[in-house]
This record gives sequence, C-alpha cells and structure tokens, in this order.
Amino acid sequence: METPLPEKLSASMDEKSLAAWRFAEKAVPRFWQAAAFSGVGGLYAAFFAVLPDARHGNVFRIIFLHVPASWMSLFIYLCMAFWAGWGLFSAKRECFADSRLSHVMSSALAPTGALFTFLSLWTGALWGKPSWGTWWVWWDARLVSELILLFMYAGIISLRSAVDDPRRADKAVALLTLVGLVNIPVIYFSVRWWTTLHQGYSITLTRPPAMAPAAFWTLLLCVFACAMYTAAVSLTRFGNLLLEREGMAGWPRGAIPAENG
Amino acid sequence: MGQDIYLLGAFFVMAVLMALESFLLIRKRRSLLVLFRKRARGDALSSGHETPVE
Repeated sequence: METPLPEKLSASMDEKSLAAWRFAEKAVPRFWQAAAFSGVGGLYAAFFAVLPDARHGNVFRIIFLHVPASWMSLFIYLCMAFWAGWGLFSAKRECFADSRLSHVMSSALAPTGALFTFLSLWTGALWGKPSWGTWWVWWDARLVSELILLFMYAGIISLRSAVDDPRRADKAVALLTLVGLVNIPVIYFSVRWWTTLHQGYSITLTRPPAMAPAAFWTLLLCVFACAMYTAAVSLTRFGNLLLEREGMAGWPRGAIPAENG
Repeated sequence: MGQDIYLLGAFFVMAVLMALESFLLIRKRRSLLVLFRKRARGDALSSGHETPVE
C-alpha cells in the first residue's frame, strides 16, 4: 500500500496527473492513425514494391520487420532509462508529481520494449536459418547481448510486480533500468568490437546506406510505423496505469463523466 | 514457396503479437473507463445531483 501524502502536495499531483492523462487521451488516436497509415504503406512497399534480393530472394524482406523491431528494442530502453533517471532526479528535487509520472511512463514502455526485443530475436532467427544456416549461435555477441536485453525487460517487469509499495517499486525499477543501460552500447557496438556472424552496420549517419534507395526509404517508413505504434500503445498503457494507480484520487472523477442511464 | 515460409513466419508472428498487445490494452482501457463512469454515477446519485433511473 502506498503511504498517504500531505493534502496540498496531493492536490498538485492531481493536477499534473489529470493534465498528463488528458494529453495521452488526445495524442493516442493521432499516433494510431499515423501507425496505421505508415504501417500499411511500409508493408505494401516491403512486400510488393521493393525488388527481391539477387542472392537471398524474398527472404531478405525480413529486414523490413527485423530492423525496425531491433531499433525499437534499443530506443524504447533508452526512453525508459531517460524517464527512470528523470523520475529519480525529480524525487531528489522533491518534485513528487513529476517523479511519479516519469516512473509510470517508464513502466508503460517496458512491455512494448520486451515485445520488440522478442520480435527482434524471432525475426533474426528466421533470417539466420536461410542466410547463415543456423537459427542461433551462442558465441555471437550481438545475438547474446540482445537476449540479455530481453532478460532485462523481463527483470524490470517482474521487479515492478514483486514490490507492493509503488514508490519503493519505482525506485528499485529505476535503479535496475539505469544499471541495464550499460548493455545498450554493447549491443550497438558488438558488431564492431567482436567478430560476429551478424552483419555489420548497413546504415550509419556518416556513410550512404549499403542498400538500394527504395529499400532504404521503405525501411525508414517501417521504422516510423513501429515508432508510432510504440507511442500509441505506450501512452494507452500510461493512461491505464495512471487510472489504476491513482483510482482513489480526485482527478479521475472530474476527467471521466458519469455514464447516462 | 520454399524459403518464403521464413518471411511469412516472421510477418505473422509480429502481426499477431502487436495486434494482441493493442487489443488487450484497448480492452483494459475500456473496462477502466466503464468502472470510473459507474463510480462517478454512484457519487452523483449519493450526493443527490442526479435522479435515479428506474
């Protein structure tokens, strides 16, 4: 059970929670629309417009699913770590409303991050079998570090549900999230630091992409669709968690009108 | 067909899991909104602001 707060502090938290919940309610439909349009366009281009690869045939189209999933698995973790760090920092400055909302946002991102990490491993295995002749190898640093990321997400989700007091859970989860941040550069630089079965960078900021322009733009469209999907589901989950966590506070009564009849 | 099965396996698992996540979240959101609307109605009735409907 959460310990009660002084009345004045509680009122300020109510205002911030209400503003955050209203923002999520307004933004979510727009993100769903953007995700639907870019997703349909990206998938159409990936499956029908881009020509098959000379060596790998149609199997190469897996990169339009694998790369967005992998990028999102890293990007979501970075966002989670940002919100976790901001939550701890705000608590230090005694901005408890900001701290609470930051931790709720951080925990709202975790399941989607875990989903994309699983999808990255799954689509990677389905790419590996026809291309490298194996589903999985334990000596490849990129593959193993991505698996560790999945365990990190699972650990963060489990830790949150294992601690009863939400404020203690916030702190513990934020610390674990920040510790796990060390894995992100390991995943990104693994193909440069070690010899891996996984291919090197196809896209960097310093060089032109090592793929046809049509494939490159299709890939970016698929990444955008996954980012919009992430924003939509994370903000939906954020709203749900806020209602669940602060259900007894005053603000949901003002925000959600009574049903008629 | 041949190796296309790998592509289809990747696509369908991704589509199903993303659809499932969206569905569960939207269902949860709806049930929470229903709960809070009922609670708000209960409050309105108990404070005498609204006439109960038979």
